[in-house]
Amino acid sequence: MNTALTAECIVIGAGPAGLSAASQIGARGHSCVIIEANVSGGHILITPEITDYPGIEAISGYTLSSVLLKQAQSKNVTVMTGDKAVTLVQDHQNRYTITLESGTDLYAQCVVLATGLRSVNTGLPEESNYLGKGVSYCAECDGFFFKDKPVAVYGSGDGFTEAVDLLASDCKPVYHISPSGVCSTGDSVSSFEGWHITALEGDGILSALRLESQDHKQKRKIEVEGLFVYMGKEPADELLKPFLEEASDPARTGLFITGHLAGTETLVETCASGVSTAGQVSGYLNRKVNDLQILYQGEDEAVHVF
Amino acid sequence: MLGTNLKHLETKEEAETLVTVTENVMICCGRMGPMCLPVYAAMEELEKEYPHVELTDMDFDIPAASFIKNLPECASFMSLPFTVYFKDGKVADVTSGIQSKGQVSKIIDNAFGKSS
Repeated sequence: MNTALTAECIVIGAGPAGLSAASQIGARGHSCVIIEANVSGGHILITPEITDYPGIEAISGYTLSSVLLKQAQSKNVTVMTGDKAVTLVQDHQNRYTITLESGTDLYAQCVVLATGLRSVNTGLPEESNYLGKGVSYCAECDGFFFKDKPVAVYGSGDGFTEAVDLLASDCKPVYHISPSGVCSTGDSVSSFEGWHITALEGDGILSALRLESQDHKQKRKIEVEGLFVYMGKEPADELLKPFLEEASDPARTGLFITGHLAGTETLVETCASGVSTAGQVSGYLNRKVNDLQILYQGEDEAVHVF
Repeated sequence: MLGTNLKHLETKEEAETLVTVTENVMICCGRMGPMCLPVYAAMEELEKEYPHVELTDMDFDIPAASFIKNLPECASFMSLPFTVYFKDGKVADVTSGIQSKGQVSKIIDNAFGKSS
């Protein structure tokens, strides 16, 4: 059975931007609910040390997340974690309805979207079956389990390169598989540039990968015991997409975007289409956002909500 | 000792006693790394929702961690953290690697029942 909850403002995403926005909204005496698909803290949760937060010499992301959460709760913000917002709809009275995975409906006059970025995975359905049994997302954490064993690193970017370098000292061999780049022949001992993984194989524990070149002309099978996935991050912007599709509509009222999501191309498109009233967020476009800016953004955005 | 707000298990004897005398115990054995931190955070948030479950952590690099590492159920594990759910002293479920709050919550519901 569906339950319903009404607040003046609902913040979606309990990372630093969402939590700081919710705290400021709560501090101004408005009812506020913050919802989060997983746990509060977002990507700052795994930041080992933050040294640029005003007034604090150094603090771990784990501790700062906890402080931000407590601060929001002290401002009477209702925090709902472990439940994902699956739809966001605006009616003719400019009221927003958010439906959560659990079936709960939430209603609000305004919404702050702070869903940030999410890690991209292989897209293969069997990936989750091999999590902890060959598949990993952290070479630094799990590389030691694969000493002298064959592993593959899949992805691109800085994290991918660092993982390859890190594993090279312990694992033999280390295959590099990258969907981007010019398609290689696959004849190289370890490099598969322009190739992607089509299947993970094993009997409960990962033992091999099926690969295909991007031009679909070549296929290979390589035996590995570990697969480290470094596919990067993408905007968690599903809730925004229906609004983008209605680009001819007049500007929306009461929809605000903040945090990492605001720093993505999605928002550039959003602003261009007139879908969103993004407050001061346009000032942050195309700027590299760090954790500190995210906190400030969240607070800035809250000023514009009411 | 791990930098969380969970109860820390620091000796093998402490862990053995806990799972013997307590009906429902979850032990998350890991480090302060990016795959482990979200699991600890989920456990901290779930503590109030599940008062009938003892949610604890253990440093993967202390001798006491052999209590978890040497379990047959963890023999094939290749990702941190190792998370073990004990019901009446016996292993009820295990996971290896990062888990979301929803995944942890689902396992607790299945292994120990929902909070009344």
